[in-house]
Amino acid sequence: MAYSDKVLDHYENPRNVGRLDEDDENVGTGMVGAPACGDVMRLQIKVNKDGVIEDAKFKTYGCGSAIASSSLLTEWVKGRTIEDAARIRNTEIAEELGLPPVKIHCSVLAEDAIKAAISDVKKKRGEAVDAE
Amino acid sequence: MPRTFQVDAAELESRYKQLQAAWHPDRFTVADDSKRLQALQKTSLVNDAYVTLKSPLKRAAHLLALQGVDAEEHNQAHFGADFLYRQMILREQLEALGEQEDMAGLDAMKAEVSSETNAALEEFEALYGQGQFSEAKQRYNRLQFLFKLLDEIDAVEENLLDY
Repeated sequence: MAYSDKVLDHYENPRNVGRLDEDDENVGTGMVGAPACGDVMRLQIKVNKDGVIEDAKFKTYGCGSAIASSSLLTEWVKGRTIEDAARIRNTEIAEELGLPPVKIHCSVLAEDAIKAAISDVKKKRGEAVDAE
Repeated sequence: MPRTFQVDAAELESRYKQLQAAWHPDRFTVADDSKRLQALQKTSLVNDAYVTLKSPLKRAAHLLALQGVDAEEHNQAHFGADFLYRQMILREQLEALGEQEDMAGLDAMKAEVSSETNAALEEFEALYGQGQFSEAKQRYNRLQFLFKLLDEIDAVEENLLDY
């Protein structure tokens, strides 16, 4: 199966790979996995006091589509508020990257990861976490 | 064969060979069309059954399916955050060992992950036996990550040996 140019670009030059300090109370960590492919994804955001995401980092062990989905998402969430970032849907990621149907679950994983990271930072700050 | 998680490998092999021989299409070359078709269908069923029973993962998924549990349906909360953290750390460790070409380290890691895998297999069997299918499914999902990791350790090792 051929990857789209956008997937290849993110796969070959992933943006924002790395980690943020998990113990920082302004850092939210989302750790998610896809058992069927054994993929594991860590997505972290650093949120300022106004609720704006100042930095985002990720590390993904998985296929090109999973790496590209998380890489693209870190680009998208930077500068957005966490409320705004929580509204990003996997379909937008899949569309932007031109993911084929068999790879849609990779974009779902990225959406799960940002939601988990947002819940984590909210929990750390003692804010109410939206029930899923 | 008994419907249990533990499978007697020797019995599986011998039953497979028996059934394969019994339904081998070569035996039905002069039979009528419907018999030939039946032989083909049986052969394919026997092959599927063999592949399923031989793999611990496929066997576990099949046992869950027999209880009406969809093994592939999952949500992130179900895996356990600690488990996912550990999976991430293990994959980072594997990456580092590969870069350092540390064969001894890779062997040690393989032994460690194998023992975690065996523990999870035992837990699956026990939970399934007790009828705790939701918990058993969680172990199945964990096993999917662990078997993938074992494959990846093998791939890194093979890569280094070729080099």
